[in-house]
Amino acid sequence: VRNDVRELRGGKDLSQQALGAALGVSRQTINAIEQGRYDPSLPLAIRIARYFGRTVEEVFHVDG
Amino acid sequence: MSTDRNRAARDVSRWVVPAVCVLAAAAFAGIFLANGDTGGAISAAGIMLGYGLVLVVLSRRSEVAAILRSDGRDERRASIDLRASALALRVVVVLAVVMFCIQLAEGHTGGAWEAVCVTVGVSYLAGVALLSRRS
Repeated sequence: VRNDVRELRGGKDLSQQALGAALGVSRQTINAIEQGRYDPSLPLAIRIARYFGRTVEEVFHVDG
Repeated sequence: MSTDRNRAARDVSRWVVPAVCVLAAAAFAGIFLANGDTGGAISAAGIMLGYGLVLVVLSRRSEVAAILRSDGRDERRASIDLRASALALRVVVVLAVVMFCIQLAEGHTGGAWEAVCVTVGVSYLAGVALLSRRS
């Protein structure tokens, strides 16, 4: 699953650490999500989307 | 309110593994001392205390140490912990089955490996039955 978390985070000028703290996850987890190494659970995906004022579909993109 | 509770639970959970290390160190030292082995008591306690100390010191810098310390309730870390536990269990199961077969080939039954195989098998079946009803 591709995602726009890195771009959205950059748009808010946030560090991975700050975004992780806001979402209740570690910096490494934010990094893994941004690099596509980890697909977040639905609750976390919703929290991420809400944090950026987007829908889940606007942040996460399923290929194919 | 619930955030405060979550933070308190996180703070407590961070110290569970180091506390277990201290208890294990005391238990190992007690067992070795009871057998009159002072050197063994110091070594065993030192290893457990050292392990706990390394986790406490490194858990902020190393994710591996943080996972081993059960630091935080991060879902990815929980997933890594779960998969690593499953991998370790599979290794133990393979070892137990191989050792049980060797035991059988040597004409022995009712040994420790047989007990491990039965315990793992029954626990797995019970777990599947319970979890399939709950999820």
